[in-house]
Amino acid sequence: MTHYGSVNGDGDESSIRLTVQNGNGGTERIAFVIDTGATGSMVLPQEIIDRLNLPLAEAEYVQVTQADGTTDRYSVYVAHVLWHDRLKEFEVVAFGTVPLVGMGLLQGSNLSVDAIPGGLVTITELPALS
Amino acid sequence: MTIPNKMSFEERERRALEIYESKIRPLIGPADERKFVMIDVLSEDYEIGENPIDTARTLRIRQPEGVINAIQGHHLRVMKFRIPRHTIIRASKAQQ
Repeated sequence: MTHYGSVNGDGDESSIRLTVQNGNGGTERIAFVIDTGATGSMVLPQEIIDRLNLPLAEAEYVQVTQADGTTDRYSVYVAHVLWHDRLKEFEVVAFGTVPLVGMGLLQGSNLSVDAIPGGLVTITELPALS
Repeated sequence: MTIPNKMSFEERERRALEIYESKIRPLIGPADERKFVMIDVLSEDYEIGENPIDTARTLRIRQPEGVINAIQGHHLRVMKFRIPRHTIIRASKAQQ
């Protein structure tokens, strides 16, 4: 299974659209910027989390360290996301204003980016490690 | 739940580290260092697993009123967002 995305017109951000299940049983397609500098799986602005009505994780917050060394605490929610043809659960950190996917989501996948304006992004599932 | 609201984040984290160091760390071998250790800081019950959502959920079933904090790699669990993206983008766009 391969997810397809694209690089923006400036050629400096790559993104993919993913199907996220909301708390009411429906789904929503959301564009996520791919951020390989983030160790978590997904980041969503609080207002999108509220709109999706996502439940808090049982361990409901996490410390996050940013590039400037500052550490703060952010709420963690759980989302069901259609990922490589399966509905999978991922942690979602409530942070910032732009939906992001990080290396946590990309575990077990190959990420390929044609880093030119409008370039093709592919994320392909790797064979499972035995 | 009323107790969690009465306990500061700092107190939760202090207790989680204390429980981890005294009860759990001796049980964590090199193969388990990247696993998630979820600790209820009230009952001192804990659960170890590879998936943070499932591991905390399993502990919650046993400790429905628990206050759960996560340890990973012998430290409080920390995620890293290496680029303060929004700040940088907004600053650079404003300067153009």
